[in-house]
Amino acid sequence: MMQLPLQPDQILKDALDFNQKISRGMLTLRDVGDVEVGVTPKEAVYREDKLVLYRYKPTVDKPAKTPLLIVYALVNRPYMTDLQEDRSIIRNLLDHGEDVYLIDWGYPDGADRFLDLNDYINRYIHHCVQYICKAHGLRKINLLGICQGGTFSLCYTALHAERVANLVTMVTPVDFHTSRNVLSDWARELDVDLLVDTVGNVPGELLNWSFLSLKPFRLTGQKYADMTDILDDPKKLRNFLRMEKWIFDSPDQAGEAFREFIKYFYQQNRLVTGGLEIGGRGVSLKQVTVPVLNVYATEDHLVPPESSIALEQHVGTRDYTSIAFPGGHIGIYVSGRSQKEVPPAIAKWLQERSR
Amino acid sequence: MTGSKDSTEAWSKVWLDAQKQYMDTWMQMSQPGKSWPGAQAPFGWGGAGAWADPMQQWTRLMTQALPQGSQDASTRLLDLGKSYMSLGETFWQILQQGKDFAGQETDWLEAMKKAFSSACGSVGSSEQEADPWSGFATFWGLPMNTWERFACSFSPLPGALEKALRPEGGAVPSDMTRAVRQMLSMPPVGYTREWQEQAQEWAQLYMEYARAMQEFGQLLGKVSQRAAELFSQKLTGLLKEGKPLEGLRSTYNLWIDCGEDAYAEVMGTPDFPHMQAQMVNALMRLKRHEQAMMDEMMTALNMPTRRELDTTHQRVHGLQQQLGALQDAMENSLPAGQEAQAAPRAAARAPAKKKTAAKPASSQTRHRVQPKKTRGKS
Repeated sequence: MMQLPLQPDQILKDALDFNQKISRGMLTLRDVGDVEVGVTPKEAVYREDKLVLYRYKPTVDKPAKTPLLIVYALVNRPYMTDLQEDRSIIRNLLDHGEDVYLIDWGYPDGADRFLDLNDYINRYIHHCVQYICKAHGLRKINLLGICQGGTFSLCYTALHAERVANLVTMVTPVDFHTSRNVLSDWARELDVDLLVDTVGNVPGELLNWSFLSLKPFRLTGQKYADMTDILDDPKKLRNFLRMEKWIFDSPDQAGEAFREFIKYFYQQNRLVTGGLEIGGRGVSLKQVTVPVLNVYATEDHLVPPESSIALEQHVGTRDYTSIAFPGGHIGIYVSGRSQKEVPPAIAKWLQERSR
Repeated sequence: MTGSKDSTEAWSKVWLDAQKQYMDTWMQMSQPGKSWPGAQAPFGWGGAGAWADPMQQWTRLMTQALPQGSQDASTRLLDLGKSYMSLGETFWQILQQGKDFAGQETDWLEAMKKAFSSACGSVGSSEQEADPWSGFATFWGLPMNTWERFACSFSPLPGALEKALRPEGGAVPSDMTRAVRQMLSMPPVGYTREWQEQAQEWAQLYMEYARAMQEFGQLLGKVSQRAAELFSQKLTGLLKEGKPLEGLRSTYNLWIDCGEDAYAEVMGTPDFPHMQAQMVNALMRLKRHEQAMMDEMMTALNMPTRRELDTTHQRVHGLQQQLGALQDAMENSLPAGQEAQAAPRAAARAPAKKKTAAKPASSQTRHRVQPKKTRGKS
């Protein structure tokens, strides 16, 4: 008798079990309610247009004298850095003595369509830095740029070196034309002028589609099959829902900034090849001479590690350190290992340079 | 509220019992000696639905009772449930057939491969007839399905209408496509010629988009075909090694692995980014033209247009940048030591938060919110 890989009645039994899990899970979903994100106490200290600058309440008596400003990407929301109490880079940085500020870019609408990179870098970031410097009586502060925010921070540091004491970049794309950079490959033939001229602000939905298309089977299928295993555990389910909320909470992208970012960085790779200008001023990584800590994820499918590692070859500083985190682009914010390793390493590196 | 909760739980129990009975019936039919009345099973190959549909009906009702924060996740969970059941149903049928091959392993494996290929869609259809919404898009997902939702979300044509128009645009024999194109190329005449010309151009652009989407859909169709091949290969390997699958979940996980591997192969070809970009660019050309047509209509009605709004926003933005440059110049001209005071001074001039909320969103506001002590535990 030929052996089947699986008995048909087993399939039926599993299908019934699966249905029952979902049915019971619906009751748990009903009871968990809306999930909370951004858990660490903070206060809004500065606003400009839709931007809000937050200062987090220090958790130690004497926090670092030089504050740390976190510059997040325009894509998705910055509460990923403070998702929940036991998964919060910000909470961890505070506990390690840092005085943390964060820029929340808000949700651009049609009136923000003409905001460009000059606005984001030379106006918004610069004004936040100026505010913090003034508030603390300092001439320069520390910057932590995450993902696209890391690229912005590099540009800012190149243009305003006098305002930055130390720069930390996390999962930051630098060389956009390395191998295995799928997003970059996809952007090459995109007519970004036509796209922005047509839609104005680029819908977050389009970005979601791009990200889901990177691993469609896992991200739109298997992930939810795995979700059925935690449907009877409200705590785990809430954690899942928080992440889910973040993934699909995608602000639209201000049209001109998107156009410039795709064209200058993804298509022309100017940060590495040269010729990048923001607000009429040339930007070169050689101008980044402050100490730099570059943290990248070895399994990053959005920003390939090679793209981040390239910073070392091009940056002007003589004080360059890198940390390779064994994980992915999302895991570096929220995994248990990341919580134990990444924020303490950043705080230690900063404190070594503030003595 | 309690009554509602009790009612939901009671309904849930009734549902679970019904599900059990329903699946028990299927279980009985899979016992040796039992067979479906008639020559074939009550569903055809790839005709997924018998297992998933009852659940869809129930869960559609349940979803409405969920809080907002859970609804999105539950919808995706239910989509997954449908796919998962479709896989289970298809695989169950394949395994049922295996019983009939009575020891002829090669025949069964061949039948399994065909069944999976068939379920993955577009087998036997010519390239021109291939439907971008079939096969890969509807059999367990995915990218085209997501794209379709995205494209429809800002299209003046609702998705269903767009599909209804497909015979004129996408999945049509090339002779007919050529004929339609020739018709659209006829020179417009008469008093309404400008509008005719625009409508013809719209139709041309629509056909270009439909063709680009069809080509990308066909490329994705290769993913499902390749995934089916890989799945059959891996299953054959497991059989030869005497390692049976542990259950439906491990079967599903194996399918996901094969799907991702196949997708990575296709995604790594130069065709993928090219065709994907062509599809997005074609949609944008179509939308751009629609906007121009819409602007003309709005102008005729003396209503504001998108073009006018863009001009206004651009001017406001230009003024904002000029103002910023003036502020910077002013701050740079201050004597040393007063520079740091400049930003808060500018901030103090800015209106308070409540007032700015009433102003146009694009206006520049720059101000402190709560000037408090800045260092130490607060």
